Amino acid sequence: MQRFNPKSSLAFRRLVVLELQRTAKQGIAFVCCGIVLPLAAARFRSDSLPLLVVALLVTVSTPMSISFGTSLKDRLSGDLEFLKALPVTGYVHARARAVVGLLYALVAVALVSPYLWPGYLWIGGEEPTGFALAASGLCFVLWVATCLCSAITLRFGTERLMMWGLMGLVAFIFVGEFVGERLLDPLLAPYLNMETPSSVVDWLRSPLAIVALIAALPAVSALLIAISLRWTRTAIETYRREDKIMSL
Amino acid sequence: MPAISFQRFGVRYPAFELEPFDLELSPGERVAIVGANGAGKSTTLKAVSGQLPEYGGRIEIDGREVRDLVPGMRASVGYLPERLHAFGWMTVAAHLRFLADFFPAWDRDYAYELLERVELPVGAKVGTLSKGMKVKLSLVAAEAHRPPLLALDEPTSAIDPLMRGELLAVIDQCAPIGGDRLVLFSSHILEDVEWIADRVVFLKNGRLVADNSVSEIRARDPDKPLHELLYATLQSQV
Repeated sequence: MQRFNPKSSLAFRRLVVLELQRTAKQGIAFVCCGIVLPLAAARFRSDSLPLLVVALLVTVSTPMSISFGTSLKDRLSGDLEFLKALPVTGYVHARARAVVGLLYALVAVALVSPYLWPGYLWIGGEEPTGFALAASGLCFVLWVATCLCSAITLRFGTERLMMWGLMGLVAFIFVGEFVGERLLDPLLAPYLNMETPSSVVDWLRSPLAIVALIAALPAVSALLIAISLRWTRTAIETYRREDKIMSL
Repeated sequence: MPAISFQRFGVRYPAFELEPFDLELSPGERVAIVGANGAGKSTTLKAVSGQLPEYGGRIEIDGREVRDLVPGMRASVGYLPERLHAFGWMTVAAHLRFLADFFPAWDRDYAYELLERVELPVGAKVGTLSKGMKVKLSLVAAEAHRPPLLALDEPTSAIDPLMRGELLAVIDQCAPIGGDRLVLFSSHILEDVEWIADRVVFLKNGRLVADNSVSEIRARDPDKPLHELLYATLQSQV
């Protein structure tokens, strides 16, 4: 039997390129939607809610249908079986997918960054409230953490990560803008002994709120990691077993 | 040069059971696994190719358990699946280029020589190939690194007689009987077995029912065509 190094960087690079090729169509749709969505939201959010909803539906449904279609096609045609038969460990596959997943996460960060204050003001939006920023930030952290956990544990394919990414964008906007600003602010203001939403904004800009927010983000990440611990453990055990086998 | 030993090898699924069996295979042999659909042929080939993680008993290659050798051992096996596993958007050339980086012994020139021999257009998209062409591509991919073990899962099923002939001729030339390689292939087409195999293992309803060399089977009635004798052997087993 021939000896073969399953950690071969060449094989790894091949798998990264393959993942990018496989998801190219969805990737382009994802980037287009990522550009269109925040701009449409910024432009129309105040004066034309129906238009915004239509823009969201169109932009979300396009890459989602492509993503589902590609995923289903690959699964039905057995194309993915071909990767399982290659002489590489799951670790190499996982690294390749994690790199591609991370790349998409970074693209998404770049895409939504104009939507964050002060970039948001730059593209013509109104100043978002503190709750909007907090809720948006939470959604964003959840999304990135979930994407990475899923990628590392090889639980889902890249196309599904992208779909989740897009859903994260939608959640980002809806939760941040509509739920945060229009519901939470007026709803919570009386309980915080504040008279107007702007007082909530002021309170959220206080050092205590900033510290609480900073503390909350790692806590949420830790919670996510704990939830996916079983998947991760199983995956790591498999990789270790395979690597041990290869080092014999 | 792999010597393969199946020791009480068997699998059990909710709807299918392959009863444990012992089998010894040596380099230079071309062994046909014959049986009806669902007899356990593909399962056996998957297991010996390092693609079946769970099974009972042991499969040893040169004295080492297959499950302890995956995934690296897959580089030493040329596996032709029943249905081509590849991405339809890749061209034939791109598909082979992709695979080349995973197999250290991959011989690019040999791959192109095989492509020419089976008359496969390198620029064609995999998704547009006919079934027979896909089998040809699978065979090129399996053979291009000259693996010590060729595991071919029904290479000629559902393709026309002309293509069948071409494929069997390639297999015949690439891994001659008595050479240093082992060919293990499954089929339910007895004429193919007659052409290629020097030994036949019969599976019936998830049970190994007979294991004979072709010369033994021929000796039973030298006047009859081999495929008739093979059929009679399969029929006679309970």
